[in-house]
Amino acid sequence: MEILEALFKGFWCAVAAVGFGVLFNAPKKSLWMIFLVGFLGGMTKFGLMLPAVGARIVLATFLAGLVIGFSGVFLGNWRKIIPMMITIPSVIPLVPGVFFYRSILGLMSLAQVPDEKYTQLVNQTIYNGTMTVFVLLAITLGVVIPLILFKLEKVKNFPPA
Amino acid sequence: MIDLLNLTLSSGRGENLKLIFILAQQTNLLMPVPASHDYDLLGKLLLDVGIAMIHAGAPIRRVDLALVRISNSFGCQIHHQMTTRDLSISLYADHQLVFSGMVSKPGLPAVNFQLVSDISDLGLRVKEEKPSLEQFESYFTEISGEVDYPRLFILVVVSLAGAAFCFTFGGSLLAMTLTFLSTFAGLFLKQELIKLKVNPYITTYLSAFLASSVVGLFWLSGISGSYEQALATSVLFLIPGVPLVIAFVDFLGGYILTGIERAGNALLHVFSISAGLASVLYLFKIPF
Repeated sequence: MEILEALFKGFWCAVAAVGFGVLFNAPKKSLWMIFLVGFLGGMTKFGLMLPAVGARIVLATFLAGLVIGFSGVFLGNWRKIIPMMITIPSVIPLVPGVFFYRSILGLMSLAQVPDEKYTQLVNQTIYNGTMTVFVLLAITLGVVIPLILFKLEKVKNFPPA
Repeated sequence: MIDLLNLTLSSGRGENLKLIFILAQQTNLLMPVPASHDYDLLGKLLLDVGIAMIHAGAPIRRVDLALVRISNSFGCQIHHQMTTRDLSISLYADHQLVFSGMVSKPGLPAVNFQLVSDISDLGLRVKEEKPSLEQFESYFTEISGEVDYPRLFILVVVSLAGAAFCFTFGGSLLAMTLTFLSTFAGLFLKQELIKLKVNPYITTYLSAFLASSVVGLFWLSGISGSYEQALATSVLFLIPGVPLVIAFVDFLGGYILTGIERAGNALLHVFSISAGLASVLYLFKIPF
């Protein structure tokens, strides 16, 4: 059942990815690839976070980012589409929305005269903020590493004769 | 004349002559420029191509690739300097400077993948077909860069993406519906503000404010349910994903300055989103 849930969440990640593809005016022929890559990414993240596997969110997101990056580069090179047009919309569903929201809420709550709950509030806010930054970094690096590894084709700017 | 000046310089005559030599070099007096308006046209087209790509959100390496391909196809070597708002290029043919120019485009980059794709394809086409300059100009003007999808379609699909986001964060059906509505309202406002050419950060702030207010209003209405996921995901359509990722692509490609520009731009958008969300949380007194 849990695997089914991971698949289901992967599907919704794919739907979100296509939405961002449309928002960024991605070419129509790339939408199915964004859906597929977004699905793979979402499935990887939520699959790794299943209790049976037990990966933590930063690692799971980083690996999902890598899966998105590599599959996007592969598909892009195969179908002659610029890989970043597939990978960037696909990776956006992995952003740490709830951590981000809680960090903001926490920071706002910190702007008060400290009481006995203040230390706990500080701890929670730092935790949420740190997770936001780390998950964002994991996503970005996961996508960028394959783009850098498979460099664009080199064209020499020929020297003057 | 060159020989005379070089002789004078090598014989150790004063600084004035050296200055004249440098000035003459810079004003091309010593280099007979081929009489051709074509290089002017090519230079201007390259400036248009480059700045259009930068504004559409292409990494600097991709822009460089297109510019080098096109200029090489017309027998020129190109040197350029780019920021996310300015592009200056110098074209050389047979060791001679044939064009030097700069373009600045106010306004900050708006993502348009179709445009990046079309111009990249144009670079390849020019490399393969070796068209005349006029043909190249007509190919370039054919690229409109206009959005391919109808506005309502974009609104519905992006709102659906927001709802999907909400589901992946564990949101209920109510939260998903709220995210759909808030994204729809926020994106609609964003599109209108872009048309009015409002400052992009204020656009992001106001859109985030409106989107999260929709959820806030439902929260005030007292309908029971979990609003956390809806509030958290209502503003995610504004996430500056492209500048953030491209900033890293530029960093790792060695284009540190443009990387910093893009990262700064992304950070300011994140700040605007946070400010919009924070305003709503404060106004509606939503507890931690």
